[in-house]
Amino acid sequence: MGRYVLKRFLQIIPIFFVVSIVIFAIVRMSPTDPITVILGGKKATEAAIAAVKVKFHFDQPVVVQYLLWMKGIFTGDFGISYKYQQAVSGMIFGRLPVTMGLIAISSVIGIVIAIPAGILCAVRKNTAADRVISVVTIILVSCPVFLTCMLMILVMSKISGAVFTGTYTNVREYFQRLAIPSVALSFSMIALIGRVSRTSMIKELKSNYIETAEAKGLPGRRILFHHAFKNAVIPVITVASIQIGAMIVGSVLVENVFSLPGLGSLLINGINTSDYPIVQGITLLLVGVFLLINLLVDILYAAIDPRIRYE
Amino acid sequence: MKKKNVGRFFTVPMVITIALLALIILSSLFAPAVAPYRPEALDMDRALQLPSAAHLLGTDNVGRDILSRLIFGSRITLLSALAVVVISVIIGVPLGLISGYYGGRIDNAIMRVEDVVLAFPALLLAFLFVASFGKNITSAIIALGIVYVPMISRLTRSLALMERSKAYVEAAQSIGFSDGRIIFRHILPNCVSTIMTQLTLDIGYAILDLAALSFLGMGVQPPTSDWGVMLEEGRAFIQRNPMLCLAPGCAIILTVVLFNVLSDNIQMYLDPTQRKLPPFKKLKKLAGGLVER
Repeated sequence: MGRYVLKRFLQIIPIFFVVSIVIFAIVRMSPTDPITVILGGKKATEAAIAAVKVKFHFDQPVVVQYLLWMKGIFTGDFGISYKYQQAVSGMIFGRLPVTMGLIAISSVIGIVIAIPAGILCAVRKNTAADRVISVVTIILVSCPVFLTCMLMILVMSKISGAVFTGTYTNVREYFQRLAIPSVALSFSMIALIGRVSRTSMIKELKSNYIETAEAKGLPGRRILFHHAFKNAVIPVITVASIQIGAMIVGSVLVENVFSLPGLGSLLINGINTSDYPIVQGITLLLVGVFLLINLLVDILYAAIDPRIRYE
Repeated sequence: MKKKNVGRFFTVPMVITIALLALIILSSLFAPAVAPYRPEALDMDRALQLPSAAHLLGTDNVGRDILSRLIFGSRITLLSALAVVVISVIIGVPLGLISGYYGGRIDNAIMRVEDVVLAFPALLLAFLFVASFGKNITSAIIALGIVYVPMISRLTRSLALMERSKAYVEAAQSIGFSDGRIIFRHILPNCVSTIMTQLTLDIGYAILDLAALSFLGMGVQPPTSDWGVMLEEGRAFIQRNPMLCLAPGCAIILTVVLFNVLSDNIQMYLDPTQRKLPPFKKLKKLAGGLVER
């Protein structure tokens, strides 16, 4: 197991570095001149431009600029924002709790609702309950997350006068602000995982070993959870990990609609103002998080299914 | 009644789905004839009206007819979703075929490059692209097309891998056909149906992703409008006329659901394990297998 984890970890390191080069290169290819962004489009003296060039390392070759950026990443320094003239790392870490909270809470909501619903559908295949859940999930899959958010705001504002957007000052407010956006974000997760666990369970319930277990006289619940589910869960985990990737982007949209102070709104702000240190910093961070989640999922696979470990 | 339908392409849900999709596509093709108003016709006196006989879906904040905007908006939405899928096919299918057919180093190189694209969670690469190359629909389409390449390419690769070991490929090789001919004239036709199923699904996803990009101001730019832009514009006035968001929202959901169902049904038709053959066909197949050999 230890060797397997190490092997997988070593595999993602080159990917991370190539991704960082890609991010850096795409941002450099932009036709917008960073110096005009930094100086806010005002006419500046030669001396001011020269000072900016030194401060942001524009006087160095591109390769050196990249290496300086990478060196900074590993010492927790993401560079300086063009627009705000302050450290990007501080801005990012101040906003991390919202985004991570959103993704974590909605993943939990999604998994807790979707897997039982999927199993229920599989067991009661082709009954009314199954049909209704299937129709609901297909609609939820097809509903853009920002539409869900807007409709939830519309409904909530009609029901109660509660404030559920904007910043937070303490832990209680943090959860209050995050509750509704997390529910909105979890819908697509519920739908997708529900569908996959249904198909996967149906497939497993048809297999020979289930028949054997039934013939042995094992109780139904034990067959369902101990035998079928254990095998059915692998594709569910695969889809869940892909879906968490989609949720990282989904959180950008959710934060935008609910005006939450998270990474997503900072990223969009950075894109709109051509503030590239912010854009490349957040993108790299999100890619890093996504790669780590994928690593965790691979470890989870190996823990559930010993065959994967020895491949 | 039910037995009659199995194993046929035109089942009841399929016919309904195709009919509705045809309706949407035709109305977007003939938008000028179908739409009751010009989509940009302002009428400040009738701003933010709820649905009525004159304006079936109501009007927006400057009095434009929502239904007409929806119909004209569908042109950009559908066309750009199609463009995204076409780009991903043009790049992804050949890559997948080459990677699956040759295997070894070439396969490895292609897979590693795609790993880099897959390392970006969903739309993030598209965000980066649009941020750098300009916030307009063209870069959004190209970016999304690239984001979709690995999915299509991996699917094609797995299909090509399966086909490669079959007898007909070996036969073609022993005759001395060139690799290009084997790949594109022999293997590709056997993969097309499965790829088409995936593409149908991808058009739906492309509509969703493009709407998200437009919503964030990174796709279609006003005054041109698609369903995503309509949602973004309607957001400020949702309290006064929910139709502003409900209409484009429902249009998106309906279209994506239809593409989903279409894909599901095609898959069901193509995948013999999911569909039961009617008894007489089964017999015929059995007989054919016994007699012809």
